[in-house]
Amino acid sequence: MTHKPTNGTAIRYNLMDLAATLPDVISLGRGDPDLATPAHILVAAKDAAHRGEGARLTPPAGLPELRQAIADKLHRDNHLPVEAENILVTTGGQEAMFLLMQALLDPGDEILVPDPRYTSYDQAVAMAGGQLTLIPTAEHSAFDLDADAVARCITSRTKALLLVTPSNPTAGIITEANLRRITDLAHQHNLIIIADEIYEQFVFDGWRHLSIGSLPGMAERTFTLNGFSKTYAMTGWRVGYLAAPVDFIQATTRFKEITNLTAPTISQWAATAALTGPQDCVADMRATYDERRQLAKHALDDMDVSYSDRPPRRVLYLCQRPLVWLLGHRILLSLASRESCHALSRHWLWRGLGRLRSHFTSATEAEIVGSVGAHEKRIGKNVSDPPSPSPTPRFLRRGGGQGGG
Amino acid sequence: MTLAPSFARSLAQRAVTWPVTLYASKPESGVIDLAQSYLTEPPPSHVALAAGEALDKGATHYVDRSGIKPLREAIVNLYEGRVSMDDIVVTSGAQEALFVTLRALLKPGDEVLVPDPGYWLIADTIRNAEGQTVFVPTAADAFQLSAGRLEAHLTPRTRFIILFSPNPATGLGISPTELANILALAHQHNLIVILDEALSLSPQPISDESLIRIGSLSKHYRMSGWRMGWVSAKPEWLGPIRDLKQALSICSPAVSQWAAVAALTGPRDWLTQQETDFAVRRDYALNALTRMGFAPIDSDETYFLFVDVRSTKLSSAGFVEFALREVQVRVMPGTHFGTEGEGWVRLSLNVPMEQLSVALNRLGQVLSKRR
Repeated sequence: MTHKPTNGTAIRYNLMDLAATLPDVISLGRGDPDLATPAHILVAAKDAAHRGEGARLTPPAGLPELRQAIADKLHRDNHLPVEAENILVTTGGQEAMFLLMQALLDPGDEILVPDPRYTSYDQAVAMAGGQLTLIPTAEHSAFDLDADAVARCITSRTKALLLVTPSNPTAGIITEANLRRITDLAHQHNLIIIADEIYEQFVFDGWRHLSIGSLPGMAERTFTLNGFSKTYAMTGWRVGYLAAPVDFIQATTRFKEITNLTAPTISQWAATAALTGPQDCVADMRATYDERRQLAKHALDDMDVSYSDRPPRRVLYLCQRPLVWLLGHRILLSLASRESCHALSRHWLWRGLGRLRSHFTSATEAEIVGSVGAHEKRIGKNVSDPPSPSPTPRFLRRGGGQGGG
Repeated sequence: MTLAPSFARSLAQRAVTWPVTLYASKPESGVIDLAQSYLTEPPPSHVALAAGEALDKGATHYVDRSGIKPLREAIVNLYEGRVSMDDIVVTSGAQEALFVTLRALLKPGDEVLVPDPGYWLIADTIRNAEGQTVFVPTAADAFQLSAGRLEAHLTPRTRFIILFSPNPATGLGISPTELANILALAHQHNLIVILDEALSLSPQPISDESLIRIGSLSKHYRMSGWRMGWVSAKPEWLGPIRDLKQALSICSPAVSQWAAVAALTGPRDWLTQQETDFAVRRDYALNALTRMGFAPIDSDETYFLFVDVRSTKLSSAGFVEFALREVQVRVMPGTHFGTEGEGWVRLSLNVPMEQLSVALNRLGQVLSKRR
């Protein structure tokens, strides 16, 4: 019955709604690549539409061709011992997460979740009646997940451990040493591992993603969640998937019928083309994000703002804790009484940890510099000028006297 | 098995399973398929063309969680302005609309009145939302759901009434008069009415505060694979529905929404032609079935016929099996839609006239073989 968004999620929703009403907002906040879905995938979708596939539902577990292509991919690239029958195609990774929590958690069951985290998980867990136990991760260890910290959080009610690696929002990746120690814990305490690998392709500087489900003895207790939104810039298509033991997939498929019957057919044909077509597009996107990453780092360096960039944390998101600290000292404290800045502060100090995440996927190069510069200008302005009442958070605006360089 | 025990128990209560006829499974050769729920030939090419154009213009990203504005505008026009654009959330099909609505608004133990026969997934959807389904039998009333019959099933825990117009089993719509009676009952007892018109081409010309409206492009518009549905409700109710929709699937597929805009705002002559074709087939089938001694329900609201087969002394399931085995015609058992459908089967008019004629002749043989 719990369906209310958590605080962090509610703030995110409200900001999206607010941003939609304001002109010229640069959104670095949402995990939506600005890059277009590769052309050959569009062609496959159009072909499917002209063949009339839009008039037909696929079986509830997904288009057979797509389930096979996903199984082949997981087998080939992630070394997971899965077949098509291990795959459930979902309406985006978000639905996979929702179905998974519904099927896995009984009221009172505990799930361990590294923190900071993608707060939509909170809602999925709460709706299943589960209890979230947060495991802290920290910048000084590059947001790696320490197996000892995991061990300290396990109780007799712990059913599952969520691993989001690479992490949204910290961009941390869990090192192989910790992953291996976590597998020991999983066996020892009979834990299910949920491996959210949706950002697997965006690991830089020679680091490689490792799927925990490929480690010895882990296949039967690892549920892998992934999708097409990030890897192929396909957020709007709504296709994700879950790979899990067959009995779990069969049961969850029957539940998927209740949420929305099946994933959209045309989108599933597009996803099939994404997996079976040329993969250069993924390398190209990775290179683009890497360039932007360097650009943003330089811009932050120029502003004399430090940021977290320890190896192996080398992915799409970049945490800028010191920048937010800066804001905290200069803007948030001086404007603490202002409602608009209160909203701002809660968002920018997301989860009370004071980390701004800068998202490389949703801005061109110039816009990244622009947005970073805009923040800087506003800091300067607000320090020297006394606050004036404003109906909307000023950081959401660009241009005019609000900065924008 | 790693399922949560409560989840496993809940699944085990699922009485009805996904019928293979829901998706495009090819029947064996020689079998005429009158069990289809969907029209599986695509709409005219303007829909696919619009989808392609939208993709070229970059409709590959997340969109507004409520749905793109042009689609919500088109939906407002479909309701002739009786709902507001801000009161709509576009969903991945009408089932998602039902799921998020019930899950967002039901409290544990709330009772929900639903017609029997009705929609095959409704009881499972209500159970998942921890509600109690109270079936309101309709067979004795010639499958016409009345306010009086609903009232007889009210308890202090009743909170919702779900109406299907047309009904997916019988094809019968709810008359404007009866709908007004039901809304009056709802006002009197502070109930929420969910009016599911997924099977309707033209929604009821009615506007009411206590009404939640659900629609879909899966049926008449032949767009089931695009997964396009919606829910409209007043802000107080839509808020939690919208949040839950986002928690479940973030937003509805962008390309599907542009295809839906084209379907709703594009040419409508094909829909008129389609209705004419169904009318011709319906008249033919009604006559043929009546002549053979089957008693069909006469409803012109959709492309199904609900047929009384009790004269064969077969159960619904028995008739379906017998018809498939003996005369190679596939039909849907009435029991798929609820226990009150026993003794009835549902026929789809979604086959060309020649095939329909052959199928009906063959069904006539069932009757002669069983007499």
